[in-house]
Amino acid sequence: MTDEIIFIEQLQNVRTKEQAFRKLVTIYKERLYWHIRKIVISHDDADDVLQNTFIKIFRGIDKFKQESQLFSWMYRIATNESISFINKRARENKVDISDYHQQLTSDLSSDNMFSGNEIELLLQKAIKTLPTKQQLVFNMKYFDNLKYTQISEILGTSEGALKASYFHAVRKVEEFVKNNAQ
Amino acid sequence: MNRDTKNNEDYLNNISKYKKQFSVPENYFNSVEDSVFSKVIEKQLPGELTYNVPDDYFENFEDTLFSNSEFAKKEVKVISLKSRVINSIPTAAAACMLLFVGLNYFSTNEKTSFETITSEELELWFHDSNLEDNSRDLLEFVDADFTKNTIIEDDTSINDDDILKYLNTLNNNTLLTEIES
Repeated sequence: MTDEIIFIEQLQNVRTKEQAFRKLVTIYKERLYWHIRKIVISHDDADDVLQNTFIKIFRGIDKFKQESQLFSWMYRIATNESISFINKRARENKVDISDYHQQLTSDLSSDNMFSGNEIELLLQKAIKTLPTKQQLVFNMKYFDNLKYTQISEILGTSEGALKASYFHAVRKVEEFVKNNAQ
Repeated sequence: MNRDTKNNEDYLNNISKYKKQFSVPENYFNSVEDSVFSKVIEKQLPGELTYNVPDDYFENFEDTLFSNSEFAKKEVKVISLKSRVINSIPTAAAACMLLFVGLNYFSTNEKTSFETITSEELELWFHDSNLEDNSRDLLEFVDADFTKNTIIEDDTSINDDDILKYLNTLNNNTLLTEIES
């Protein structure tokens, strides 16, 4: 029995659940936070989404069937929570989702939670011009160095389609940065 | 020497030609170009993520999370409307049955009177109550339910036609038994 299976059993056992869950939060909080932050951009929003993600994980762990890795399952929850959050905000602001994505990075230069230089700011703006799925693939591959097999498990997309998606994403990003760099 | 090399090559060819030892993922070669060019472009982009978090954010995260009111609710068992309706069917059916039985047997509009009690019910009650063995009870029973006025009123209300009708309802055997007694 692997360590992960034992850990999942502890998470699904009423007597050990709380203690195991604390361990899970400690292990994954930073990775999930950065994944969420790259989608929602603002720290406060990322904090809200991260907490909601862990609450969903805590409530749903009993139904986790181990058809994928625990890590992929949590990433998927975090991704869905982040996208739902963004869509909700766009609806509240009565703007199109692609416009809202670009709004997120428009104030980054004055955000004290962002310390990037001009080219790094351009990179973030470029990513936000991509369709949502390409943004996810780009972030997971470029920043998180996830393997295509892992991204495939998280997003439920074939590896071939992911490779093509990533290729289009990097090309568009490069083009944006080149065209907008002074 | 050359002959040996040739033999070795043939031997190796036989192994590799007829036995495919390695495989590649499906459609791997279709996506090689994408992967290669992605890598080339990646190298030209800034690789660092430059977002910051407040001091001690991750150190205090567990405390923040576990004090979240939503987390404090923990597992709220959500019962779907469908399953709730399905689960309620036996209870609702039992309640309907009880209501039906109650309405039919316990809340009749007709007032129970002496006239509505059949002779069989009276006999049964008489036996069950052991009134045969207790003459005092019997006397009380008669005193309570057959007052003098009731008997007189009943007597005056009976006419000859009623008696004739009553006699016609009795079968002959019963009539003979009553005459003999």
